[in-house]
Amino acid sequence: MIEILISVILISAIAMSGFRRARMLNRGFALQSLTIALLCLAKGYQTGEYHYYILFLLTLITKVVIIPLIISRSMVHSKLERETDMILSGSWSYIVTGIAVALSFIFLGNFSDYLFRVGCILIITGAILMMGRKKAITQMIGLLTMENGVVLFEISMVKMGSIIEFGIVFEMLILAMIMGIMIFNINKTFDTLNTDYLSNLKE
Amino acid sequence: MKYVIYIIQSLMLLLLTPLFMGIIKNLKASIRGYEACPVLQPYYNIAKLFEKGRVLSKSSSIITLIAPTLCLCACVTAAFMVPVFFNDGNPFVGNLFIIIFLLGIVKFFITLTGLDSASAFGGMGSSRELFISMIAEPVMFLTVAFLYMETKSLNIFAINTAVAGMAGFDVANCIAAMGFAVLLVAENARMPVDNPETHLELTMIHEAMILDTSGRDLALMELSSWIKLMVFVTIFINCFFPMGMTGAVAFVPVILSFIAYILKVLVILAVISLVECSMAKFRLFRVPELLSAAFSLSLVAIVINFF
Repeated sequence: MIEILISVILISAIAMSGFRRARMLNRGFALQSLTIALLCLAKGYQTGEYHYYILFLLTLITKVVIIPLIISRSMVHSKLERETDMILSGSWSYIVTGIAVALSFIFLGNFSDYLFRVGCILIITGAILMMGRKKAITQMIGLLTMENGVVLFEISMVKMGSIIEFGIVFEMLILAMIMGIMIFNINKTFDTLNTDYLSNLKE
Repeated sequence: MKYVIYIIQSLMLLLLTPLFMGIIKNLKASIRGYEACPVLQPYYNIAKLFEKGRVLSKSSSIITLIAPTLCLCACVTAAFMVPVFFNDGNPFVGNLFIIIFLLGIVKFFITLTGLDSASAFGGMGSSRELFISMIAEPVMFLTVAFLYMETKSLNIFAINTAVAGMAGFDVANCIAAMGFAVLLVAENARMPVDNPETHLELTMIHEAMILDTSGRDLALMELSSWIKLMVFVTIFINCFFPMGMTGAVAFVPVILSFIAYILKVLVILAVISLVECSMAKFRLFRVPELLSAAFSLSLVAIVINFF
């Protein structure tokens, strides 16, 4: 069961790296978070430790419901439908992501734990998503994907208290809120979400 | 006795193919809320087409005369090389490369037919088909490489036995299955790549190439493309989800395995028709993006399996 969930996370990470439409990216992020929540549930059922259930509930509430709502609200405000000129476009971003995932699997070959490796891979794919896009919303989704990777890291470590889980989840929630406000302000000031224009701030 | 079952299973695959196509049409109609045609309609269509004569273009050569028969022959041979619902792990046919190249013969002769009638549409369709298959071929071979690394065999019967012997699902197997599913859609001209039900100019890839064939030729071409789809579906099932496959030469296990096969095919057909009803066709130049996603999925599957 855990292996199917891990493969869903990997497939969603690779598929999200090439999506153009922000709505599809948002749905992909929600699916990825839902899979991570189910992974927590499965881990909790396997080990019988209660803090996995807490993480499951927190992930379900914040990352599957609240954060996608925030993203879609800021999409409605900024009228962003799709990204037309990306730095890494279309098929290249798929291939770069595929090669990056393969390389990180090779370099992390010493770790037998899948969750650890997949956490690393989510961080790398989130970074690629952030580097390859220009619009602020898609970069925000990239950052949130990296945070998903951090959660997977945290699950793969054995001895960690609930306090760190609370920390990660609420940090992410506040991050998403702040970025939603920032995106609203960027859009109001520049009439676009293209982050290239941010360098116009120079005097 | 087991050779009889081997022959019977492939014959069942060939005989049931138009029925599966009718089921796809029915499912799509019921999803869209249309009134569906009868499930057996493809059989009637084929029978009607076989009664009609052929009309040939003045500029067509011997290719148009022989290509439909050759396509059907290649497809039928490929159908006899895959395990359908019975496999006792003692293979004498079924090298994956032979199956791939047999299906490549079909593609080659269909594209030649499109060029041969000297119409503008046919050439356009041929060029598009080869453009797509040029990008689809690396994915196919990466998937074969993955199957070889996973099971240390290139024979589909041995692969099927080895995958059925594995406990549970593997991460690499699931990811490679996803990549192969994209490939299945692209190779068989289904929806995100090509719309199989219109003759509209913008969407034509497969239909453009067989636009100038008629009567008996058209029946053979349609049959061979249907059989090609079902052979791909059978390879998909047998290489990635071989649950319920039997190797025992007895009546009850074979019937149970047959029912399991039918159920798995129905699930895949339902997924295909759901995708076809819910997605718009991609622009032609966005198809490489889809296939490069499949490429990186198969690459990742190989690496996960190896390290």
